[in-house]
Amino acid sequence: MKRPIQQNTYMFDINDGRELARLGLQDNLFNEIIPRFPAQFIPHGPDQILDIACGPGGWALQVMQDHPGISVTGVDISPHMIQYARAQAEVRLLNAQFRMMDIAKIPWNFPDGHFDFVNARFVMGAVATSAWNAFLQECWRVLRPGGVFRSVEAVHMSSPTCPAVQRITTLALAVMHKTGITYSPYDMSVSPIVSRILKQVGFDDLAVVPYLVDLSCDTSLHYSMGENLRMATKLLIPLITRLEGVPLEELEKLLQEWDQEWDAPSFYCHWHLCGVSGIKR
Amino acid sequence: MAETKMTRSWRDILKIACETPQKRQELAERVGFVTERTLIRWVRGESNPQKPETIRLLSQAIPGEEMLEALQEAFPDAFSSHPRQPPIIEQVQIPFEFCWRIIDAYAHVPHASKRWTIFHLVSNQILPQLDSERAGLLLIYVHQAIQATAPAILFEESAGSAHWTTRQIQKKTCTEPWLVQAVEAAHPFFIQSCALSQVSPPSCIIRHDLIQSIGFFPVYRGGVIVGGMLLCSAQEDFFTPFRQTLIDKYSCLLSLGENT
Repeated sequence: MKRPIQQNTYMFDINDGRELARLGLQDNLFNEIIPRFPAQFIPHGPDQILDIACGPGGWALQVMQDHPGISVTGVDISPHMIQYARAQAEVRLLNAQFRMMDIAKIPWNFPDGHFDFVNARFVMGAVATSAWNAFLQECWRVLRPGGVFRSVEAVHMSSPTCPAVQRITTLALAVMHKTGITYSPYDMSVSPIVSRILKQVGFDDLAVVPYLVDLSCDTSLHYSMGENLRMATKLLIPLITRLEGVPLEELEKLLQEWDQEWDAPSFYCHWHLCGVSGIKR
Repeated sequence: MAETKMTRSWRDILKIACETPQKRQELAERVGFVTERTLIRWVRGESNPQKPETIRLLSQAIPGEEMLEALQEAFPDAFSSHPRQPPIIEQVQIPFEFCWRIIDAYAHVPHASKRWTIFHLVSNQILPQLDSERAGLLLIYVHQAIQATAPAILFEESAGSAHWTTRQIQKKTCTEPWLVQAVEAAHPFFIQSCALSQVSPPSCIIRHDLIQSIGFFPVYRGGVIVGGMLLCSAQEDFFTPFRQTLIDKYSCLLSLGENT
């Protein structure tokens, strides 16, 4: 019996074990890069947190481990992700709550003003461009006055001397646009629009924080993040073939060239990300 | 008149921890290198634990600061250069749902990605379970290098916590003779203290200077050894019997990542 075709904007197969493993790895790496909470929570942290599209729960579980008094609820559309996250919470003896939830189905099953902090790290794959307004309005509703929303999203990958990496990035951008999660086929950034919508919804004290991740050879993240991105590209191949008409053999050859470029001592790459946060007044 | 707190000796605390045969048996298993009879002799004052690592394991096996303080007072040398060890992991059961994710990956993930997928699913589960205090634990999936010109092992996949979260190895091939021989022997082995055993951790591992103990668990498929899991901890005496049992179970799951 074939698995049912998933009906959402997410480009990867949420039932695929490779995606589950990849997101676990990605969570661990970004837990080292992105601050746990935005600056608005210094010095007092939040008490009740909602983690949107939590995946295997890496961020939520790390927060609970580091801050035992905090309550975190992680939601994701994938039953596999939620089950895996619960298994992790079980062995870590953490009382994290993980629930299946489709964030596109509004209203969410949370009361008004329930959370201090809504975390949305790399959710653009789960939110169509047409849905950001409704999504952020719902985040507003579930936040208490004084609560904070934060999103972190990729902006651009710069690898000027690597044609295979650039070609794959270009194809990925085209696919993202065709699946309706980015506003342009040439630019993956959603942060400028998210900032604008946050203001329209009523959030205040907006903060925009850039992050730059150096993935060049011999950097601490070069190998591990390379593994993450390589698997992401592999998982995108069927979609690229279908939407962009690029033959499978060509993509596999491109992936081999990517490997060679990534492993070369002359590999230089910066990954730009952006965090946007706002306070509900 | 102020109350004076009666402090109990480590034997008094041990006596309570051993008051039933079941408790005695469980405690002996947790300490790992003693029998129930030995525990009884300690309670009666007929003998004392001799090895520093046994004393430290005893301090971990009975929860609470009272036992630790009592043992530190009685055997200060056993603790003089060792920081407080992390709490013992009481739960050794691997959640069924986690096993189900591994079996699902085994069934559906293409062969070329199976080992990578299952290794990262396992490491993502095992690292926070065994290193909840993030002292530093490194997992490396190793293979013998069949076609190498000199004896070597390949570091196929790696993951870690603390200093080893983002980066684990300098290079994929390790030619450290003692490690190559130990892996080729295909038996589990444990070095509880690299310093006491005078073993140098492989220099091809990032921050090898931080490695205090090393464990190796062969991975079998169809009765044949197909690889192994090498664990390096930043803590001495890391591989308690509890942890050995747990890691052994995870090693069995890793075998599902290998092609038949």
